[in-house]
Amino acid sequence: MIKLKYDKIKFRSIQSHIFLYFSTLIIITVLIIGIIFYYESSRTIEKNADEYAYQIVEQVSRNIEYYIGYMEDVSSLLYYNPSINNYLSQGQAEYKQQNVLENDLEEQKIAALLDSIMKMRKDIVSIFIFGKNGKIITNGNNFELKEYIDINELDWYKQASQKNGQPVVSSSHVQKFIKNQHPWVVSLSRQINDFRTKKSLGVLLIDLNYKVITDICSKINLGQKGYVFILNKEGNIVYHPQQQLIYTNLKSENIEKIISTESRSFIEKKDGKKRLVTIKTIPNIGWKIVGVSYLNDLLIAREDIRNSYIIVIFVCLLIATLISVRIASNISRPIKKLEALMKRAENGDFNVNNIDIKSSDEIEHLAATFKMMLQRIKALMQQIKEDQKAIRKSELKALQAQINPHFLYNALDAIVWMAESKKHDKVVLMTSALAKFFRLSLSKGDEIIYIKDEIEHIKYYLMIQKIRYSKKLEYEILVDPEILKYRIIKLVLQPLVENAIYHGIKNLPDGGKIEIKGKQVEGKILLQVVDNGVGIPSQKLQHILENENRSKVKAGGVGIKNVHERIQLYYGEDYGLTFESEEGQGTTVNVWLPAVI
Amino acid sequence: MKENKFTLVLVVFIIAVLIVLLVYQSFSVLKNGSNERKSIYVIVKSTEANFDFWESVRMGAEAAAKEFNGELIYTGSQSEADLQEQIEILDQAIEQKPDAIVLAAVDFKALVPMAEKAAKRNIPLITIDSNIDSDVVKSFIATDNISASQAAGHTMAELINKKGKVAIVSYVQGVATAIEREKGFINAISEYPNIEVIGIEHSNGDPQEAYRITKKIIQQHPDIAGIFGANQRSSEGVGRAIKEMKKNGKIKVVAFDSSEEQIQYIEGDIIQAVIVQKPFNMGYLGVKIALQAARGKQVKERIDTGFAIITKDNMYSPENQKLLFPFIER
Repeated sequence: MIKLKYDKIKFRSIQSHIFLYFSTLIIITVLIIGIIFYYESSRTIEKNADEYAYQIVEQVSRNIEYYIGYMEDVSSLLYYNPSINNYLSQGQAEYKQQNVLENDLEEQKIAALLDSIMKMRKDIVSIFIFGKNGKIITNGNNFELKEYIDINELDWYKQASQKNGQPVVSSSHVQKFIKNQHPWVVSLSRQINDFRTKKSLGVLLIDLNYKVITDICSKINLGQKGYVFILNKEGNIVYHPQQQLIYTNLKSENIEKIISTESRSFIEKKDGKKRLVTIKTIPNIGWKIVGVSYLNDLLIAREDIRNSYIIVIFVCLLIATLISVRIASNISRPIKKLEALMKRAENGDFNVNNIDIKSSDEIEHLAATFKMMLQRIKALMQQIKEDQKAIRKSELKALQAQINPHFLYNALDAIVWMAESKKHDKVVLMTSALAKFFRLSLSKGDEIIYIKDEIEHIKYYLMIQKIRYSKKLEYEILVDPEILKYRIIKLVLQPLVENAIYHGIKNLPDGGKIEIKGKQVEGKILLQVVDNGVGIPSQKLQHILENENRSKVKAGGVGIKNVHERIQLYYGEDYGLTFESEEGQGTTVNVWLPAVI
Repeated sequence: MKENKFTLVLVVFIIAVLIVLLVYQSFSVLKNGSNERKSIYVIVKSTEANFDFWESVRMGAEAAAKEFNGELIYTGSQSEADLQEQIEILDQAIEQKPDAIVLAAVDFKALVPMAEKAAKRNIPLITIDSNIDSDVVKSFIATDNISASQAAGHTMAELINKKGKVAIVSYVQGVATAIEREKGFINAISEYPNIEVIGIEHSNGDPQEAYRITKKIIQQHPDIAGIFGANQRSSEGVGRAIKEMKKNGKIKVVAFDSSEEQIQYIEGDIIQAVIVQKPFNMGYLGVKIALQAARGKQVKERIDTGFAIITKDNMYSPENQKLLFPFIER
């Protein structure tokens, strides 16, 4: 279970890696693009806002300029009117008293002119001409001046006198010198000078309905909260939509900065809100048209952009997740199949032919290689099985050889014979040798034994054979003590010695000698069985390992071939038996073994 | 493996930043949401078109509604003293479930049950000009009538050289503002030992009645030195009587609230000083505060909108002409 879980986590981590890389890439890309675009667009919005506000303010100022200009035109019309000039100069001269009637006619003519101007333009509230001679001309007659107010003391009058013929535009105010009428107006006043003497004859006053200006300004759209207001040259408010609030300090405008600033706009912070203040000055009269727009109104659009970017990022993340899941499953599915295949192999199932993995090249290659590997393992296992079988068979043969009945008969015969001859010492020797021989043969069931034990074993064997053959058999064991510690498979020497006795020495009339030698040669162990018997004919020697005579096996020996095969099964083809023989001289059998501790 | 961890942390961090941004966003959307249009009922004492005071209130209310995104429903009884009608109007307003109600109460006590009904329905109630006797009122926005009428009393004392008889022509008996103005004036006068308040009369907000009362007072006390007109309509009646009896200059008049008629009396030396309230500010602040309350913000309990003392000399200053002549269209 735990292992399975671990595998799952491992598998998931492929997916999560892909997801991580994907989402990182997407987030970073979208973020960078988003940030750039966001700032770019908000800059554009601000720039547009500035541009838009300036256009609005410019438009307002143009409209107002037009009205003021129009009033100036009207004032010029009257200023240069000869009959007005004439009429005003009359009283001053204080002659023509007789022409009262003519005077009245003149006044009526002028009043009619004023009246016609008034009728042309509804936005003019009133036109007055105040003569120095005490004459007052206006349109219509239904007005009464307030007694307590001295016209000469009023601002517009004084300023007109100072300007000496130039038109003066006042701020917005209540016109206060007429009884029962208090209209809000913007006044244009102008001193009328005598054409000839250039002396002051009086002051012309044109009152423009203030509503014209409030209408121009209040209709302006500068966002939800934005507005336009007007300051005159001195910084007094001509128009403000919340003038009352300003007078009571509930609202304020940064008038000083507006008056002093050179730039056409600036951004200020008021009540925690960023405001764009745009200023346009009307050249002649010095009025400043000020547009106030709230950037927050405009920046809602910017927030929308940011919102949609965040949504885009989340959508991209979602897509990244889906794609990464898909890719990960594409990659992991064949891996999972392969994994299942490996698990089956782990459990010993090497049937790989029915598995078909289709994927990208790498995984397919991997699967193919794995399949090949499995097939190879399968073949090897088959091989091992067969080898094992052969080993068992040869061991069985070797063991059979130990309990060779002939050898036992002969040995027991010899004991009996010696017992009858009352050679007790020999009986004891023979019996104990026989016992030790068999004990070493079994070697507690171990397949591998020390060389020391193998030599011991062959010593007892030779001892038994010596008792039997007596003078006919001589033997000698010459083994390098260094190699005694190495291990070899058992029952290597005994068949060779048996062979040497039965086929080499037994038929010699004088008997023969067997030497057992042992030493280390170039990292290998070399054991030799040397006899001085009849030898082996060379053509027979060539085939001694291939084609072993069956009769020989039958005759008792386990057979040289079996020994050779066993060595090769255990230690490989580098090891085994070699023969040196000469007819009539004797035979040497070399046993090559690895030096294994 | 370390590299992966770093990437993971990075991604988590970026996602966290995004979430914070989104939360902030939705928070500001919430803030904007709280900035959405709210309906505000403004119920005043009189909807008569030439009642300058209430017309100014209306202008202020409209200015605030535009600035703070409110939907204004401006209503009120036709006549100033009609309690029953105002109760009905308030009841109807509550039924409409507005987001807030701004009320100029015609009675201190009688409107309390209706105000509590509004409070029960979670409609914030703001009073302007005249309060009611209840603490369900979130905010009361008005002239501090006591200090304004105290100023009137001191002005009066200066005008009559701190000696003589004075009378008060008030408007509706029992109305909170009237009580306060009478009290403030008497308080101030009581500082001058040589001035005697000979009586308080009520005109019920009718100029004709005030005119009759004034004539009666002058007839009974020919030596009277000054008269205090406690509201616009009462002062108009006082002015008419003084003008008719040609007592201008001899009997000093201090008035409360202005109108075109009173301006004539100021210029004609019939009324010497006028205490002018700031009705535009009342309407403006009333709606502004009501919208704040409707958006669940904490509001100030009491806001003083201030006053100005206007005489013949200063009446055409830029500030005062805006107060005296609030309407540019006439």
